[in-house]
Amino acid sequence: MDIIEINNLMFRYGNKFIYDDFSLKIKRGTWVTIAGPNGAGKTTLVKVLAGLAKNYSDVTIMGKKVIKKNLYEIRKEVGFVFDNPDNFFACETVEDELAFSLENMAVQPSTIKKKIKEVSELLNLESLLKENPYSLSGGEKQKVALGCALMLEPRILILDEALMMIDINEREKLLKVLKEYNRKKRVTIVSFTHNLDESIYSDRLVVLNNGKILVDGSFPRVFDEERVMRKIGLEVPFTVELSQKLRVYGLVDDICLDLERLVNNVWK
Amino acid sequence: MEVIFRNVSFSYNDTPTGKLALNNVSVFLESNLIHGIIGPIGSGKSTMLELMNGITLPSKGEVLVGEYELTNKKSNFNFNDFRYDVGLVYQFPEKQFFCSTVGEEIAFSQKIFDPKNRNIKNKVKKVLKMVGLDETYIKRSPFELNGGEKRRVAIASVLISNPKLLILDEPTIGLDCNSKKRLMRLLKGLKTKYLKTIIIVTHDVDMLYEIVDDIVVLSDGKVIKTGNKIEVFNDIKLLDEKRVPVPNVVRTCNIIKDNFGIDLGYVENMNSLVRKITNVINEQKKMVVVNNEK
Repeated sequence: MDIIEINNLMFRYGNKFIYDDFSLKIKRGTWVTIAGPNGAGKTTLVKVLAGLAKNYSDVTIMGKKVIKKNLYEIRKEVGFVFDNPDNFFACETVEDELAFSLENMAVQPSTIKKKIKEVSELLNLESLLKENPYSLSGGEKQKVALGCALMLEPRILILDEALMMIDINEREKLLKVLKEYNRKKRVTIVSFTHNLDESIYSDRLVVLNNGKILVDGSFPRVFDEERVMRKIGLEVPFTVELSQKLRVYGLVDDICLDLERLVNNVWK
Repeated sequence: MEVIFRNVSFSYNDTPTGKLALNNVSVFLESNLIHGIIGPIGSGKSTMLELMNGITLPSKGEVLVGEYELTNKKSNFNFNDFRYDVGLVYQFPEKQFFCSTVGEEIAFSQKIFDPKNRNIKNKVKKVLKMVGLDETYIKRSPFELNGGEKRRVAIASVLISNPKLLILDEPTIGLDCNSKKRLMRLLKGLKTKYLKTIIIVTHDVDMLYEIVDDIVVLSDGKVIKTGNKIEVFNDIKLLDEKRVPVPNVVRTCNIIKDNFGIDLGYVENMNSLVRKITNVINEQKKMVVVNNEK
């Protein structure tokens, strides 16, 4: 079943069309990465899904149209994490920040406490709970922002460049955590990024440029189109580029996303 | 312009129990080189950058930036001169744009620092050229530019003060591949052509590996390794242990060495890696043919 449906989206800023007859369907419980270079239309699409951009199209989330009267119901089930966490924090400690949304929904303090423990363990935030969110590094702030979204146990998680400031090692750890979360809780994840390294944990990659879908597929086959991706300025994962270059010299047969296996394939 | 940290400690919460963001750090960053500062999140990278720029002062120890001495005591130099000599480019610097044209945006600091200067227009043209943009950009709105162009305009607005030291916090963050490559070329050019000392704080180690000379590695507020990039990145065991990212090219060479005992030596980038692998494979094939003929 499709949990998100965008049919014939039209959107423009002034006279400039960002989307003209754009359609996309996302299945429940899947993790879809939507990638594109700067200016491809990713943030506009996030705004459309969040009901922050007025449009005259047929966009539904969980069967409900994204229109003003449904926004409260939709936002209760959808967690949004945006790229700049500084615009988002309101409390003096990370713990209060995590509790903020549930407190506003009048949830029992004991339940909130339990939930904070669960989320901070999941994202390794325990040592930061008493810190002021503004004193944290960029990567730590992004982790806290993700934690705040998970506190609400969303059915859909929408990440807009939400892991951009997190270093490679930590990001990989987080992506594995999110994969587990996606599988176990059947949470649908839609992540918007220009970094294709992040995409390989998802089930499907959709590449956008100028408001159109250029590539749409699953891994690793979708990377057969790596030239198209590179042409529009996307950086493909290191292993994809290396596989393709070694393939030209006949040293490997296929794209391999795991570096050690790729190297072993060369000397097999 | 060299930078020296002498026994520097810093805490954001200045109490005896406050956690130290930097703990007794001593480093020497030589002039006219590109230096990289790397480390896992929360290791003290951004704090180090703020100390070099005098935004915060050390709780203990001293930071020497050229002839300027930054300690927690009252400084005896003119901070305006210091600001001229040290340029700082923040993360997402384009978010600070507010002028309606690129020309005004770049000239802004000069109009504040040196309002009587009649040479500002020429200076704007000069720095635009330095960052690889032509004069047609002067009248354009900075908000209509793409991500890479915006970043270059932000760098130009710092370069107009002609700083000897340029410090950049995550300069490639949020940029697509082509914009990133252009920016890397620009930074290399600023070092070689304009003799700037450049310090980059980043977690994009693949980018850093291609342009940097020396590296400082931080972990938990302490320096765990310094030296030239080859020396630092070859200590993969230490970097992995401290969860510091390692460039993919170096990681690949290491796997080849560990699994097959083949040392590819210094590999500059992806193309040189592919070239070296194909050379080794061709050599091995030749050896097999020779052995078979024997």
